[in-house]
Amino acid sequence: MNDLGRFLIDLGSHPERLSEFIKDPNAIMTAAGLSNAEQAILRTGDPALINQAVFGLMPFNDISGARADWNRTGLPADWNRAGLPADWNRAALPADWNRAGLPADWNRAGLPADWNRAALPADWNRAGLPADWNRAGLPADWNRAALPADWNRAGLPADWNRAGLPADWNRAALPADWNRAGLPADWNRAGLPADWNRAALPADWNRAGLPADWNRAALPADWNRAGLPADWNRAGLPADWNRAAAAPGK
Amino acid sequence: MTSVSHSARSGCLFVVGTGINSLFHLTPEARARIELADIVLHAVPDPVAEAVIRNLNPRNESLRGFYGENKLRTDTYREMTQYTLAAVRGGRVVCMVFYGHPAVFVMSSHDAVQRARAEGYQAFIIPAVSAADCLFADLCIDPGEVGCQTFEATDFLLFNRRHDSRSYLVLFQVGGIGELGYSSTGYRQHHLHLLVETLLLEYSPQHMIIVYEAPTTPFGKPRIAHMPLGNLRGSNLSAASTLCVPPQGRAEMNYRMAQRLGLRPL
Repeated sequence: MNDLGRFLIDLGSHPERLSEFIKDPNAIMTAAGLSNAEQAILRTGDPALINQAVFGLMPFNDISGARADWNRTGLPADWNRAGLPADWNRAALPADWNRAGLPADWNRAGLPADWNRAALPADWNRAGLPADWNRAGLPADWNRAALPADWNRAGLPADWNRAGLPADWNRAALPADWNRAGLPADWNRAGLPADWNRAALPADWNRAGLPADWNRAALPADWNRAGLPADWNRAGLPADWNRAAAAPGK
Repeated sequence: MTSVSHSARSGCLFVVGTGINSLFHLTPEARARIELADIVLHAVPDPVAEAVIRNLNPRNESLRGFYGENKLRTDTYREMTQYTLAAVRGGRVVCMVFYGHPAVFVMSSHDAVQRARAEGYQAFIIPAVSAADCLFADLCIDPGEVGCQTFEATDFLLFNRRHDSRSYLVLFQVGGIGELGYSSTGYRQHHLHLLVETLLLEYSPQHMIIVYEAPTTPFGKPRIAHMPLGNLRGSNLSAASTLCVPPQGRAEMNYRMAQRLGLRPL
């Protein structure tokens, strides 16, 4: 948790602190040690920016409050909340992963804030992600899309839009049936496959960390009931995953 | 405040809400119920609010996992209720936390409280700040002045609800008309034209309406978009959008009733 997150939680947990904030927000933010950038983010009042700065999250869009442009993008909720697992940093990523320029805070900060404001291609929602997503990275249409001017400032590598996911992903030892089976139809548009919720984890999940076939592997059966653990966004995959199947009923 | 004490350990349920702007709207009573509960079960979309809840009481679980892509929301709410009741039956003081007002557009809270009471447990819904409360404040509307009728947008269409166009008409969830399932990617708004079509039976296309969204953060500003009714379809709606249709014309006083009430017309 960063300073901004601690500050907000403090405000929400202690009414007397909230009173002080309402009386003189600038003084309280400064006294709490928030940087100018953090104070600026808070002053925007933009929940997407704030959530991303604190948790690396995008706003959840069902119960309430989602930004209108978020919905249009069609990005899956699970991805928004989780970002890429932090464990990916420790796993056997391609050597050039870091060199490729993915920002260091990608795992914690999620997608660039500017994505919320980006004018995605008009046919994004209608077409969904193309079938070659799994093999060829992001949709080819992105190459032609009028991406926002600040796209590069967000820290994504220049070749991200053109080359899709890191090139090494294309060469990785994906399961043999990856291409044949493909990811479920709703993966690209609707987040993690629904089937993941019902299936069991592979036996080698714990021993090997993220198994090679993690794309096929299923989430724990009680995933839905347990919700995402608090440390998911910051610490990557739930710690419990490494220990065993979660306790029943959790 | 409800008179039941937390000292009762035979199992009871409190359902509280975070309000819309969670950091500002969490009431002292709601905070206390969260802190004192044996287990807090929360389904709030605001991650800051969720972090506050976790900070107030480490004995908590998220109910958000019950949502599923394209899964009927009614099924999700039913499962939330069942999970909550299991904790109550276990003899624990359970606090459910929802976004906004826990009794407004939250099926699970009503269902859980009714079922808990039916099984002999104490169960309460604690008032909170709803989107309607924010709307009245931000749009400076006094519902007591000319009256205000509120409907859930799909319900408004589905049951051919009748309203008095000389009062305010407030329609919630206009961004998800006809959408009964959960969608993490938002709603298509492909039925919005049906709402416009229905409202045009009563109002002119030039009648000015307001699309409203309450602020959810400390420095947040409300979205208040004025537009002619005829332009609603081109507007940018989200799951948080509420439609406010101001009155059309003035109601005439019923002088006979005034006389019977012993009131003199102004």
